[in-house]
Amino acid sequence: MWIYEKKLQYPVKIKTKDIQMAKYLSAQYGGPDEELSAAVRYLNQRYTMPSGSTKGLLTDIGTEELAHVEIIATMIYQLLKDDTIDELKEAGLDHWQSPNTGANNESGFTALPGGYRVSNGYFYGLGYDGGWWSATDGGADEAWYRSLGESKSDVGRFGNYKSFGFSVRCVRNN
Amino acid sequence: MKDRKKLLDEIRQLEFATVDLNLYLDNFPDNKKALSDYNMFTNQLMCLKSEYEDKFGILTNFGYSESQFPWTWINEPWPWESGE
Repeated sequence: MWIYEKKLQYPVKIKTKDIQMAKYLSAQYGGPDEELSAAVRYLNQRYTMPSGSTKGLLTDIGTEELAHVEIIATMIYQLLKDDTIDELKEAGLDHWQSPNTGANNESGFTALPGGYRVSNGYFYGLGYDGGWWSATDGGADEAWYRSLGESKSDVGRFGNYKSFGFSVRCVRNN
Repeated sequence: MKDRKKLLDEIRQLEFATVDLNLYLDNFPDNKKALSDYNMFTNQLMCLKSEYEDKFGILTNFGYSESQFPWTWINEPWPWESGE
């Protein structure tokens, strides 16, 4: 039998929204070392403990862990509650796959990982890689392109066969 | 009259003490000083909870607290909303 007490074990007062912080905290909510699995581990191990004292200790620690789950969940809730659906989608896996390293769109380019087409017609990399042709020729068969990847924060510059397909974006200097 | 947040802070402080003493007593059940502290803090905690529940609604349900009319368990805000 468990009882809920209608209060937090420790108060949580988060004033500003922060999706990235919520993502970091989600490891503590649903990751490999999260509070809930810690609680369940304590509570499972108590059954075969050798003494009343250790059975009690694991019951009590496991129970208290559930209060920690609620603190983490409250932090995530408060960090996300003022976000729009679009902001949440963009922070998730709708476009870029995790980890989407270094993504903050400070350039305003809003690159999407459309993947690329290879010479035999197959497509690869949707959600993981974005490539954009540059205007720079690299000889009769090749041209330069720029690329972004889901686990890299820098922009790559590579040459590839013109029979490959990359995205095209029209840009101009302001 | 104490306000809601101040009462909850005092309840939380006493609960931290009782949880810690509880875990200590699991390991050292014959420590008289720890047990006497545990019982003293528990007594204070029960008084404060009863005061809180009279003013702001019940903290526990399932028969652990008596509610005023109408049923106060569903009073808002809930803890994750108030942060308390």
